Amino acid sequence: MYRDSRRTRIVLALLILTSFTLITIDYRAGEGTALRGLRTAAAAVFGPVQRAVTSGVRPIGNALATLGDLGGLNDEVHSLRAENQELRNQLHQVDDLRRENDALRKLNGLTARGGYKTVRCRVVALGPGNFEWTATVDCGSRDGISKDQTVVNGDGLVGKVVEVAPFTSLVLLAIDPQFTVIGRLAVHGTTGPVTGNGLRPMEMQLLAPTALVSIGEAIVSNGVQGGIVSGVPIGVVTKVSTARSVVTRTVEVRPFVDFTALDTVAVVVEPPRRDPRNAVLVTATPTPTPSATPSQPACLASPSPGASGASGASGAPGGTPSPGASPCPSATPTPTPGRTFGTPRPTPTP
Amino acid sequence: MSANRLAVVVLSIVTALVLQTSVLARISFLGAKPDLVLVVVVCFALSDGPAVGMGAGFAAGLVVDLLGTHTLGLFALVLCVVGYAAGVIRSYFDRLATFTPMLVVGALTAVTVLAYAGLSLLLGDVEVSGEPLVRSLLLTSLYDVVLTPFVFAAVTALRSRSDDPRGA
Repeated sequence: MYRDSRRTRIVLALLILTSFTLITIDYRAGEGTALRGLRTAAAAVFGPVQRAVTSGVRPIGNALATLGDLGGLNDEVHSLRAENQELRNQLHQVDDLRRENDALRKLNGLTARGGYKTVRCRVVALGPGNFEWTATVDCGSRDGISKDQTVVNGDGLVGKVVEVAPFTSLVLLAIDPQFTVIGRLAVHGTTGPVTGNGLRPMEMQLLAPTALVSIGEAIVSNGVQGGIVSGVPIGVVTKVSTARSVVTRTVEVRPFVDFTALDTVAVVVEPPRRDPRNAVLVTATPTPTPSATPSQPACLASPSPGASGASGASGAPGGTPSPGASPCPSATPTPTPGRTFGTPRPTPTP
Repeated sequence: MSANRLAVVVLSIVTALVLQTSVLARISFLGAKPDLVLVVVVCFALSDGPAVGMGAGFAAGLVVDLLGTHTLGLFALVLCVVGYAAGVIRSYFDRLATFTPMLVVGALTAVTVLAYAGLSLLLGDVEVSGEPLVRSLLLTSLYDVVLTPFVFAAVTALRSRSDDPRGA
């Protein structure tokens, strides 16, 4: 039986010949021959059986197919995971874009209200030191930046340009101890130098020890020729020192700008033709940051009666902020005793 | 060969064909499928000799050809020769060790895949080459080797029940 007999070989030759014949016929004729009928017949015979078996073993088949597809499923898991990551990134990008959009909108509003001609830059680096507060921005002399120009963002004063390279500039931040700007109390109109103090609040020196000042009062820059431009919001008064110096009075100022999150800034390349006075403050003021003092930083629209009398016309000449921007509950605020500091009532703080 | 044995061969091949097309065709581990029909043909050849091998191979191949879309006669030719070869290989052994069928099936699967790829390339059916060819060459052989012990055991068990070739 296992022998490879002569007869077997003849049959083998015949079968091979048949195969070649079939191949030749099928190859040359293609569709529409008797062989086509054979195929149809085979399908007719096997089709129902296959269908029955397939439906009978479908659960097993599916399970096995799943097992067999494990490689494919793995690939799918990988691709889906990648897609997920991609979408998550996009979501983060959208968040980032939204935040940037808000910042730019605020910046646009601020520069428009101030009438500043600006060049927009992005902060590309922050100063390395612990005692030096600088930032490098990505625009330089090629963009029209020159030394001592004012740098702002949507919230207010950021600093000033101290060094200019062709493509970048170094900005001295307003919180740097070396930084000084002449500020003006938006309500009372008193001016004085505002100096950076690192991470601690900025300090404003009021040259007259008898000057009136309210907590929560905004401070804007009072421009000088060749220095910081006028009208840029600097911060709000958070504390008035009670140490009664003979010569000056020190006021703590919380800056409007969040110096830990600087991104898009604008360098004022051309000062406004008219001093914007307090006009820039309109919406720049409400920057509620978690502060211990329950101050009312935007209560500028309604200065206390006594204060406006004392400060005269210099306070807010018609440029009173719109009521919408003011979180003050009523049109007539309560000039609570102790909130306004000045000679008439030198109340000691609690 | 008795009528009983013939019936067993035919039924086995039909079963293998149905299983192959209904169940195994849906499985593709790492992009390759086992070839149960080939395993059954080779096992019958190893158990019953070259005549049965080539006959079973030709018939099974012809049905595979009819059910597929490739040129008719291609698998008939390949399986016929493979069945005959397995039978001839069997004639060199007095007794088969357990792993001999596995080795034979593995080798002949590789031959089948290569022959199929070469012939379909010649006939312009499908171009199987490169990475898919290597993959199918290695994996199909491996899967067939794994299937062999079960199929061979079934085939020899059926034989001892139907008739004994040594008695014939």
